[in-house]
Parts: sequence; C-alpha cells; structure tokens
Amino acid sequence: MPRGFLAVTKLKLTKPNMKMKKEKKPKTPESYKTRTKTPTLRNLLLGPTAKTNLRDTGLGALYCLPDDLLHDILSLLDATDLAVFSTASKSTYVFSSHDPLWRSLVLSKFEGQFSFVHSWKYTYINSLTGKPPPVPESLKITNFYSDYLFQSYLCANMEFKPEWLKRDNIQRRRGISVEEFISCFKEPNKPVLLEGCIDTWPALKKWTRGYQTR
Amino acid sequence: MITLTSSDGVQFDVREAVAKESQIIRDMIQDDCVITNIPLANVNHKILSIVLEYCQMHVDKTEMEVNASKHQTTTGEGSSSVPVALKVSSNKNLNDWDKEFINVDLDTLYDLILAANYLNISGLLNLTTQAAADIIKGKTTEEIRATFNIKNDFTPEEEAAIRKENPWAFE
Repeated sequence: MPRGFLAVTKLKLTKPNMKMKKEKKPKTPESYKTRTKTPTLRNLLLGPTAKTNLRDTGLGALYCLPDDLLHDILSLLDATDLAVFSTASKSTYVFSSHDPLWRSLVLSKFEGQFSFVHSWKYTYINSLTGKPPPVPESLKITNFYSDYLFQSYLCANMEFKPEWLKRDNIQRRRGISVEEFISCFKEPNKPVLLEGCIDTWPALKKWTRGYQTR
Repeated sequence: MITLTSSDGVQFDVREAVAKESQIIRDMIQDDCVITNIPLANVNHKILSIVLEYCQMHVDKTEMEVNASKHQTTTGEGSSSVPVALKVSSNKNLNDWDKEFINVDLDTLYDLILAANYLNISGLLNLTTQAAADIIKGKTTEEIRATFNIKNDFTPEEEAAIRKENPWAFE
C-alpha cells in the first residue's frame, strides 16, 4: 500500500472479521489480500460488532445524498473550499480527501507544470506552495464505509498478474482435423486460432489491384 | 399526454415533450414500455411538481426558439443576427429563471438532486448540484457545520493536524 493515500487507505475495521478471513484465505490469491480489511458496505453489515457508519453521522443533512452525487457536488468546488469542507468532520474529511477530486484540481490549475509526489492532494499543495511540506501523517479513521470511495482505491492498488497482460497467448493451429479440434479444444473448452483456413480461396489470388479496378 | 404518478399516488398529466425531458422516461417511451401511465416510486408529489415546472419551462423555451427561427426562415429574412440576438436574450432569461427556480430550502434541494438523478434530467442535475456546491463555497468551517448540521467529531489535536495539511486555505 503506498504511504500517502491519506485517509481512505487508512480506513480500517477496528477488528478484522476473523471468521470471514479464515474462509477466504485458502482461495484468495495474493492480489486480493487487502479485501478482507476493506471499508466496503459488506463489512459494515457483516462486521463483528454492530456499528454505525461514520459516513452518515459526520455528514449532517448531506447524509441523504449517495456517494456519487456528493462526489459530483464536491467536484464543483475549488481547492480552498474543498480544504475548508474537509475540516468540518471526519466524514467530510474522507470525502474531501478523495484523490480523484484533487487530480482534476491539479490538472486544471497547473496543466503540465507539476511533478507528481505522493498523492494528488499532496501534489496540489506542493505545486501551490512551491516548497515541499512534510508528508502529512494520515489521520486514522475507523468505522467509515463506502463502496464508492473504496472502488477507486481498489482500482489504483490492485495488483495485475503478469499473465493478465500477456498478449497472443492463444494457441495457433494449422490444418487440424475435426476430431482433433473436438478433443483438444471443444471438449476442454479452450480457445484456439485456426490458421490457413482461407488459403485455398480463389479470391486470395484473384483480387489484385488490377482486378478490383476493372 | 402522459400521466406520471408520484410515490404518494398523485397523478400529473403532462405533454409527452415535457415528460421526455427525463432521459429515463424518454427511453421508456422509445422502447415502447409505456402506454400512458408511469409510476415514479422515488419522487413524491411535492418534488415532482417542482421538477415538472422545470421541464415545462425548458420545453416551452426551446419550442419558442424553434418557432422563432422557423418564422425567420419562412419569411425569408435570412440575416442571422436577429435569431442569434433572440436566442441570447432568451438564454439569459432562462438562466435568470433557473436561478430564481433553484432558490429553495436545503431539504427541497436535496430532494431535487435525488429526483433529477433518478429521472436522469441532466440540466436539472447540473443546476441543483451547482447550487449545492455554491452553498458550500466561501464558507468557514463553522459556517459549513451550522449550515448542514454537521457535528464536529474531531479531537482538538486531529482538527489542528488537518488544518496544518492545508494552511494556505485558511490564510
């Protein structure tokens, strides 16, 4: 986990849900490991103790708006207003620290004239003041659950297995018989690229530039 | 005519063009899912009547413009300066009208945001979210807490630490 993802990365269950963790562990690959401790709504509902979601208690009258609409509203604010909004409560702090908001602020204000450090929020502050402030210590906030805010964190932090990025990993075969195709590919349900299927088509020789213009 | 039924059972008869300001209703009509009556389970009659007032106004304005430009072309006075001027003035009127329209109390504003989102009326959603953002703008922390009834759940140390993150914002 990168150090600087501010509040959102630091959200934790007070206790991890032991039962769920045990069930999950054998089959979860390395790349999903973070999931058992994540601030998703599932963990609010299935967590070990009944809790209230800090999101709602800290938003006051704004709690009735879903996360995505609240995010839309905050995206219309400039940096100063966003920074002030973040100081109202823990919940507003988490929403205002959502890094995509700061990414758009950085891109619209500094265009190309910035270098990314740590996080977009930090990059903004850094580019604005010109002198690198100390990397802020993230506030630890518990009992905050939001699928919406978590999603972009997950996208940013999920590991990609190398084999997901390999291209051209489908077998290529030429001139195989129907029986072989069925036993090797159809039955085991494997993909295959059949090569040379149209080699005998007359069009391959006939369709020259001269023939086409005629 | 299309009948829209609010969550509390009140029926509104509106022209199809007005109902079609909502993307979701437009899609329903296009896909032939609708005979005449559409129940809207997430919008009560108070909010729906405000939403329909918005749709009605915007449809009327658009139709007026179309008619005006048609009139121009049929009478053959092809100079483009007149319709442009007309359009600008009517856009200005509409913006003023929008501004006046969105001057509602906070609870109504939240409901309008939710309704615009549910019905997928992009103009109204932009207008209402912008209005909500304008309410946040330029306020101090204390004013924000008072406006939205937000309880400060920071310890004094935490609050000081957060302010230190963005000292430039409090200068």
